[in-house]
Amino acid sequence: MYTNFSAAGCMDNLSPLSQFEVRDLINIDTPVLLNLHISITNIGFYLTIGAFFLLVVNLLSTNYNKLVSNNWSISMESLYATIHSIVTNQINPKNGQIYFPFIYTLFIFILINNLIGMVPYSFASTSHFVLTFALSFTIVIGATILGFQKHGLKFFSLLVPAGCPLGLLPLLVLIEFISYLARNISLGLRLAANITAGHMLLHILSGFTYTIMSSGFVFFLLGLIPLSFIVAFSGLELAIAVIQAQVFVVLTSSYIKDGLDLH
Amino acid sequence: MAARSAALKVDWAKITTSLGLRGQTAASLQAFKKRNDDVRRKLQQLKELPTTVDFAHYRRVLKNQAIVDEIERRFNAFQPATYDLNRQLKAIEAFEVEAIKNAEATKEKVDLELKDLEKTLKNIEEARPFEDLTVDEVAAAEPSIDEKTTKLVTKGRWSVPGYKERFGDLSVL
Amino acid sequence: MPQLVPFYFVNEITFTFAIIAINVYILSKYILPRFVRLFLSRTFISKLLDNSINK
Repeated sequence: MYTNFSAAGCMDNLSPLSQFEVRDLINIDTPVLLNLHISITNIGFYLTIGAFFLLVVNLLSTNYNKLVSNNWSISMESLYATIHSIVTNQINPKNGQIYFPFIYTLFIFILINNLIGMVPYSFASTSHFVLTFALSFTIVIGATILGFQKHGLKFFSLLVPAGCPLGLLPLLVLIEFISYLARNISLGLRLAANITAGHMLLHILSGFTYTIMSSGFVFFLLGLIPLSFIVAFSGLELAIAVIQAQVFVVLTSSYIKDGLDLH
Repeated sequence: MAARSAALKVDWAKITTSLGLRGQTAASLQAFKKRNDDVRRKLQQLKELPTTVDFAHYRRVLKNQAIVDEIERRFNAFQPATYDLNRQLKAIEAFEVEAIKNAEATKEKVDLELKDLEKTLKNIEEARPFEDLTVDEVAAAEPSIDEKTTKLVTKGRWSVPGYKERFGDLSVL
Repeated sequence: MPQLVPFYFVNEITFTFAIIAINVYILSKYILPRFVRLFLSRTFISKLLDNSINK
C-alpha cells in the first residue's frame, strides 16, 4: 500500500494515484439522523466550476446579440453546427434532432471536464470510473428503454445481424447479446481509462524527470529530453481530451439510433 | 361561326407564355384546347355524313307503308336541340367577373404585404448601420421571428431550413 | 485503484446527474433557442435584402 503522509490539507503527492483522490472540502456529519455524511467534495466543486464556466462562456460570447459575429460567437456557432451535424448524421435527420440538447450538453460536459483536468494541479473529474459508468449505463439503458417503447418485443431483432445463415443464428444472437451488454461498460470505461492513463503517465514521468533534473548540471541538460517528451505528451493529452468527448457523443448517438431504428 | 374562327385565330402557345401561366392553369388551358379541337373534329366528321333520308326508296322496298309514313312524319318534325349558347356565355361571364374580383383581392393583399415589408426594411436599414444590427431589433421589427423560434424549439427542430445552403456550414467535421 | 473505489460514490453520482440535468434544462430553455433565433433573423434579413435587390 502507499505510505500516507497526509496531514490536514497537505497534498499527498507520493503516489501517482493520489491526484485522483476525492477529498472533502466542506462536510456535515449527522451522527443522529441516519449517520449521514453530506459533503461538498473536490469533485463536486470542479464539476460545478465546469458547469459555471459553460454558462458564463455562452453568456459572454453573444456579442451583444449582433447579427454579425465576432470570433467568440463564431466558435460557439461552430460548436453548435458540429454537434448538430453529428446528431443529424448519426440519428435520423428529421426526427433525431429532438435529442440535440442532450447530446450538446453531454459533449460540452465531458469536454470541459477533460480540459479542466488538463490544467496543472487541477482535478480530472472524468477519470473517475463511477462518473463515467453512471453516464454510460444510464445512456445505454435509456436507449434500450426507448427501443422497447417504440418497437415492443420486436426490439430483439437488433440482436440478429443482417444476412446471417440460419444455422449460426443461436450462436450469433448470443454473441450479439453479450456485445450489447458490453456496450454499457465499454462506453464509460473508454473515457475514464484514457484520461486516467494519460494523467498517471504524466505524473510518473514528471516525477522521474524532476529527480533527474535536480541531480546536477549535466543531468539538468539531460533531463530536457524527457521534459520535451512530457510537453509533447501533454499536447497529445489535450487532443485526447477533445477526441474522447467526440467519440463518446458519436457512440451515444449511434446507440440511440440503434434503439430507434433497429439497424 | 364566330366561336370557331376565334378558336382558330388564338395562338395557344403564346397565351401560355405571355401570361406566365404555370402548372394547373396551363394544364387546364391545354385541356380546354384539346376539347375544342376534338369537338370541332367530330363536328366536321358529322357534317360530311348525309342528313336527308330517301323515303321514296324505303316506300318501294318495304311493305308496311304506315311505318314509313310514321317515320317520315317524325323526321320532318325533328329539330336538332338547339344549344343554348346564351346560357353558357352568361355563366362564363359570371365566372370571369368572379375571377377578376379574386385576382384584385389577391393583388391588394400582396401589395399590402409588400408595403409592409418595405417599411420594415427601411426601418431596419436606416435606423442603424448594418454591422451593428442586433437580433433584438430584428425581432422587435418582425414579431414572427419569436413565434417561429418557439414553434421550432417546441417541435424539437434545432436548425433553420435553408440556412446551411445560404450561410455555409461552420461545423468542424 | 483505491482512489476510484471509495465511499464517495453517491456523492459523485448525485453531483454528476444534478449538474447534467441543470445544464440540459438551462441550455434547452435559454441558450440554444438563442441560436435558433439568431439563425432565423439572419435568414429573414437576407430574404429582405434579396427582395429589395431583385425588385
